[in-house]
Amino acid sequence: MSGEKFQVITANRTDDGYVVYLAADRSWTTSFQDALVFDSGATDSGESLDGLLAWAGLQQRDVCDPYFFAVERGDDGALGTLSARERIRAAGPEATLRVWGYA
Amino acid sequence: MYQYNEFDQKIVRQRAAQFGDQVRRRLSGEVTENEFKPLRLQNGLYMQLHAYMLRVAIPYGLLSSAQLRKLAHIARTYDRDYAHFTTRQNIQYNWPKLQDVPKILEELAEVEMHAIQTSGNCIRNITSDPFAGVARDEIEDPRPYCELLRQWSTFHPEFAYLPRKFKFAVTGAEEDRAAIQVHDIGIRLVRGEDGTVGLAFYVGGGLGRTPFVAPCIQPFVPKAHLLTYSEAILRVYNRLGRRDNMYKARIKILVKSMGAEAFAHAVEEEWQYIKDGPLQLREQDIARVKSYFQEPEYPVFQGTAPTVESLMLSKEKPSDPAFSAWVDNNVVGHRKPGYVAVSLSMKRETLPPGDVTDNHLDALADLADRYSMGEAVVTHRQNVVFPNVQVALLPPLWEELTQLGFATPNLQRLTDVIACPGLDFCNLANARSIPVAMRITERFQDLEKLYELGQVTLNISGCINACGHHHVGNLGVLGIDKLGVEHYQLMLGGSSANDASIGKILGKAFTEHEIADAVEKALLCYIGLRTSPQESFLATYRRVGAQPFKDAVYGDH
Repeated sequence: MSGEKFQVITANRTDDGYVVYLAADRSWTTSFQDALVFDSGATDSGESLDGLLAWAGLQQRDVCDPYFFAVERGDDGALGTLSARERIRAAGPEATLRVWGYA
Repeated sequence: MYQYNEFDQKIVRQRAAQFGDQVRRRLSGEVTENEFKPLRLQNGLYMQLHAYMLRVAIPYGLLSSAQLRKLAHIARTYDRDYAHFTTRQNIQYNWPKLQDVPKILEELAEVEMHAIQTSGNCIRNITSDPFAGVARDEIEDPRPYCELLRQWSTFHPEFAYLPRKFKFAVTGAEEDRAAIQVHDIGIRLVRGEDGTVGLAFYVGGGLGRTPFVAPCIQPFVPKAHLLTYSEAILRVYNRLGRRDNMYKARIKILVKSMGAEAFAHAVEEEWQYIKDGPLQLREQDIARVKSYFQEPEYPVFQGTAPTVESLMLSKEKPSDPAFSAWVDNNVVGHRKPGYVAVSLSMKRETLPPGDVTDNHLDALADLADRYSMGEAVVTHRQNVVFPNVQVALLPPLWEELTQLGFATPNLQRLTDVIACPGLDFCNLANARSIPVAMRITERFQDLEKLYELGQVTLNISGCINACGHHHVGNLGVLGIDKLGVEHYQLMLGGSSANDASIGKILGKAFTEHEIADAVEKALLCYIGLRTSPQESFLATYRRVGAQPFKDAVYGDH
């Protein structure tokens, strides 16, 4: 388990590879802000990060290669990423032809 | 260009159908991701940062206009209206849905294309000189030999699970425009002492974590032994390559650890077992493949064929000075009088290097039909070449390319940047490449400033795997991760040409906001140090060494 205080579980969706996060109702959401947050390895209701990660690993039809990563909470409660990689995974690519208005 | 026979067509269609069944089982839950992963990778389907990515092979970069239109159709129908030309002359789709991939493969098969062996530890797409077949400095057209290698290596059962991936590049020209010395095997067509043409084999080059320039292990192999000698090399590698450590598994590590001489000796021994076997090419085998690459029927000119020089003196020359700059930079001589090869620059400040839209691809197809006998070539610098353009048609072609934004006169100039997809797309990347490339491109938009720098290459990779060839840019930029924050190392002195060399890191890394300044300082330092405008950046760096550049770049850092 990470030494960081808050964590979320993420994966890529099997159907289209899109980035998804485990939500509180055990569904997978594309919204980073709707991710289930673990505080020091456990949810508010006491479910463990390790336990849910093991469960996520069994959801092979729905998602691929789940893992967890550290996040931070802002003063307003919004989730923030701690790495460039997860920031870009959450936000999508910054430099695409669609962004630049070509496609 | 090569046309599929019944056998080619059959295996490509069979593979598409086979993958369709594998996808069906994956989506029904019968197959897990761990079971599916090697199957999808054998069909060029990666899982990237945001979505699946499908890499489609373009053998030696050569595309027909029909293929360009199909690639446009796929981008429009199954993806987000764009695609990306890679540094190995392939094309990638960034957003295909899994259920659509078998349909994409079926569509590709209709135009004799596929995604087989664009991933995995096998022999990958064979790359070559973008001017192959028309270059003035060519000893012989390398494409028939590329095609023979493609046919030999496709589904080769012995080499389906090599210690690591394996890349060939072949050139037939005196000037290396295919970066052959930084490939696992680089082959150069050479003329022997008696005038016969044979093959020089360079083995163990590569970039990535441990970059090496390949030594030449055999300066002359008869053409009949293209396949037997290649097979001998692969057999030695397959037997002795490090399968225990993926970071030491490429052939370059084996060649380095054995020494080039010992490795060549091992290949020679292996070769003796197979050189007289069925893989030895007969003259008719080579002639059969060559027949697909015979020169097109060039129209015969009345009187003297027009030249670029005569065009520039005539009243047909557009008065816009941008035309002259484009001809000087993007147009090269052709072995056929009255013709030229034209490089289309896919680089500008608002376009990620190598990216093209569906509309671009359709437009390229139309232009290829009207100006280049229906053919185009993707280059390893992520541009496109029209190999067969009549000199007299340069003005209207330039007009149309200008409208499309592909007439930037910056070939081999600083803004002709190579950049991998980087952390915007790639699952392996540590840092973004595209925004850095675009920021530097934006800074050097002034053509006068750009030309003052002479010919200089800038290559950018988002991680140590070096898909952006950063080690062999005259200036190279490598993205790294420092505690979750993107940083960029600057390296100088690389080259992938005949004088291939690996660049050296100049000093500590820069932030995303500092790297363009660092590049500019290195370039200004060069301007101050060069003996004349004719001395290139690389020549100056090699003459004075790194220290003056370090002082200039880090002096006030």
